[in-house]
Amino acid sequence: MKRIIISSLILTILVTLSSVNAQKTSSGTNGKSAVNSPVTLNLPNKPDSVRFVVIGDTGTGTHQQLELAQVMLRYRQAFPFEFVLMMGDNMYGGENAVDYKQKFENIYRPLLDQKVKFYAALGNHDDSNQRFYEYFNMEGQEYYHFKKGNVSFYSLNSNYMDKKQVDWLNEKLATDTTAWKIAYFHHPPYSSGGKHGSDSKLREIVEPIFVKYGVSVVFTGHEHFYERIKPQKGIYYFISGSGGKLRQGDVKEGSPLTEKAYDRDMSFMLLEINDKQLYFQVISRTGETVDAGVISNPRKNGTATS
Amino acid sequence: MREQLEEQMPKLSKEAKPEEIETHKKQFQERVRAARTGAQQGDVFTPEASTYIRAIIKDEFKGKDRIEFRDTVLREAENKAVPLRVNYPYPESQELLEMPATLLMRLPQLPKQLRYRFVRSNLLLVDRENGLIVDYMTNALP
Repeated sequence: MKRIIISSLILTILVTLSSVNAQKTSSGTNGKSAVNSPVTLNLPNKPDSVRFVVIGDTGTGTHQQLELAQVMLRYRQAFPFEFVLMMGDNMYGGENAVDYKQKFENIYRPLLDQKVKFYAALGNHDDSNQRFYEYFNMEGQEYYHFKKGNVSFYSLNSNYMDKKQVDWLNEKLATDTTAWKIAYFHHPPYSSGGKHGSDSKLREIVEPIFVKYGVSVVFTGHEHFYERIKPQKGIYYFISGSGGKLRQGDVKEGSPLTEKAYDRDMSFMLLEINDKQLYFQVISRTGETVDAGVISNPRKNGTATS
Repeated sequence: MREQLEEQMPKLSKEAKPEEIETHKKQFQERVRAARTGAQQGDVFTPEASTYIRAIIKDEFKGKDRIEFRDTVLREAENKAVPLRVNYPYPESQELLEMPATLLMRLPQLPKQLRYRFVRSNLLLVDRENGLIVDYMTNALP
């Protein structure tokens, strides 16, 4: 518990320091263009780190989704992330072949051409058959697991968290000795969203498993904004659900859950993990950094430092 | 019957093209629909089964939980246009409303191909592979 509190304090201090610059430069989205905005990296960017992106609720096929993808592409030139985690709602509306192209392939084509891999989770607007799609790398499963370096990723189907899935998750985690265990799925167990809010029924089932087996970071979407939740039971929860849609002003002001939130424009997360630290930087559609910080793995044996 | 039909079809690879996914789903729909002509509401959700399930749902959602869940399903959900027709597809354009995890732990377990789904005050059984509505029961909401 002491280590968790220390980690939280370190995170708070570092985030406060690193977000000062963002707050100074942030001036809303009106009239701003991402095309010429500078790429400012707040991450160590070491070649032996696990480097990736988190986006959610992308599948609109709109110009705004494309603009955000273009910012991602520009950041990749400075920060060569290897893969992208998708938080679900990968395709709104129809799911014919043309929709896969308009709402995904055409938008992220430059990243796909650079061999960036996408690992999708399913949302409440997604057909189960997306699990067979070549670019979603789901291995034909609605929930699955993969490793990158010293990081274990668990992609879950929160839209249908049944006993089979819970049993699978318990079994996988019970034998997982990886330093970092990260879960990602669509519905947020904690949220300050006005439209949806926290998914307490899901939380009741999955959170005890995360705590028991040392899952230290959880990424979700569903809410069309960005939110970093104050650590709950030693777990860091992030919402990144404005990759294709924005619910402007939906974060409840003064929410006791919120460590940091951004609901003025669309955004994505850049992440970098090494042995003991997870660094994150959140970029808006106009290329501004709206949050950044570092988490020391509270679950890892040994001293957590930053 | 359903499994036999599925086995007769070419399997989707884990790296399928969008065209293959679309074609596979449509062909599977057509075959099952043809084979299940005459399927009716209540074939699976018999009166006894429906009574049993309603009791579980009612017990799961009480007080504030009940009010919130009804609000989610009846007001917020973006699936109100789903027509209740057995052996017809659940429209892809409509939201697949999240099933509450705590409720799923209590409802009778289904084969992996089938899913419970709420639409308005009704509980549906939907085939996750071909999207067909297998059956539905009315007045499922507490």
